[in-house]
Amino acid sequence: MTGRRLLRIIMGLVAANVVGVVFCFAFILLFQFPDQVGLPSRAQRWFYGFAVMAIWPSLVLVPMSMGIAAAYFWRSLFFSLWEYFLWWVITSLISPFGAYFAFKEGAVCLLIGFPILFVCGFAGVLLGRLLFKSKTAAMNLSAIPVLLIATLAEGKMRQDQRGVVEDRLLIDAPASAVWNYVVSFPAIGAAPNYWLSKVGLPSPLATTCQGAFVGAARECIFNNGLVFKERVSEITPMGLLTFEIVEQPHDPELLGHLTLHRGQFQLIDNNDGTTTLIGRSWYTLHMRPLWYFDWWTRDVTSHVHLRVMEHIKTLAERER
Amino acid sequence: MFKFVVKKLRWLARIPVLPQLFDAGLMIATMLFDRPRLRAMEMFENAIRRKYPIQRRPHRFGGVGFFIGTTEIGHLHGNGLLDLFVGRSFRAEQVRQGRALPHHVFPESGWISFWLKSPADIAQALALFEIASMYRTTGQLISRAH
Repeated sequence: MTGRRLLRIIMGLVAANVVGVVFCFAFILLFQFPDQVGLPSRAQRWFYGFAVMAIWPSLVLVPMSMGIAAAYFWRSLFFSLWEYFLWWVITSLISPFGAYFAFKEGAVCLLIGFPILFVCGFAGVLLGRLLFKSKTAAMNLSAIPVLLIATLAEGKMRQDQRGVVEDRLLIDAPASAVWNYVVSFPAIGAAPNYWLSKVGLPSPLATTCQGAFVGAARECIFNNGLVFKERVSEITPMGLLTFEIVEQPHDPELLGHLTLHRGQFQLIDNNDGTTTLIGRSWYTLHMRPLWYFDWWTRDVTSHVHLRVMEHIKTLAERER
Repeated sequence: MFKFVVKKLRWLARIPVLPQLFDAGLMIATMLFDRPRLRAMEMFENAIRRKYPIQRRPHRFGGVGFFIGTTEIGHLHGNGLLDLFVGRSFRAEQVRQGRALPHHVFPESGWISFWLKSPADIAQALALFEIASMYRTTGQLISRAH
């Protein structure tokens, strides 16, 4: 590989990541601008509306722009598709590593976000390789504003996603036995079997509670020391336990991404010696694109539910 | 998966950028799991670039569009599916002779589909491209004469 060729490859690699960083900083500045300037309320509302469109660094727009930027610098290298692919693998790995080391982002969040960064970015590379080699490149560049508007519109049209995740488990024990372990339970000894927990996602370990009464302080402890502080808001012995999450840990996997509001366990006595245990969590998701991150949120929350519920099942069935 | 998306979710192609994203996904899958197909796609693209005054542009349904001026000759999807416009009479003939398949979405139209699976398919793909190119160019000449 000649020095000139390597230089262009590195330029593409740097340009892509610079574009990504510039976009992210532009979003942050845009969000802070109305407060700093002290705009009148109507202008502030208008500006905020625009910022909402642009503030959430859309994982479609930013990676595609990164890919297009990289392809611009690689346009004279006559890459094969495979070479485009390999160099994009390297280019796209720099952003998550940079975010992890420089901005202390959560590793699991980055792992979850990487596929969409990679695929959208590679789509940008594929577009760029055609746009910048075509004789009608200038005309084809008109696709970029369309891309920009489409992505910003996606941010504007969708507000924060509020949702609830529900899981059910049949326990071969009466409701009275199950209830003993719903309010609080001893530490879970079994190793987590969810693959994300194996690569670093915290998993629930134990729960403590002041008592079975409304207003009781409750703590849900995770295996890396994270603690969710909760307060019991509704209780029906052997039937229902609802708790509000009053303090969420300052963990990079959660901060600015996900807000958990409430949790609930419901017990349904099946009148045959078994009990159906239902676990619910209410949350607000702040990430974009919603369809993608909502799927992950539901999957992760469901695995957290089931780990706790399986533990309650084991304890209750053993007691029987 | 591809068949399901193009038949049942075709309306999604109206959303800007989505077809390109879908095609990038197909291309990544081809790169990871089907190297002979990828080699064939690349060889085909290079061959027609050398042989024809073709412009390659992003296609509205994803993949690479092959154009002469503003006229589309065909397009190649990220999974090696080559769609070419050869007109209804040529389409019937090519399909009857087993050289191509009816178009994967519009079987009754003048479009044909051809799967590039390995470098062995390139000769056939180029022959079909020649027909499509001739048809489109001749068609233009006829319309100009009118």
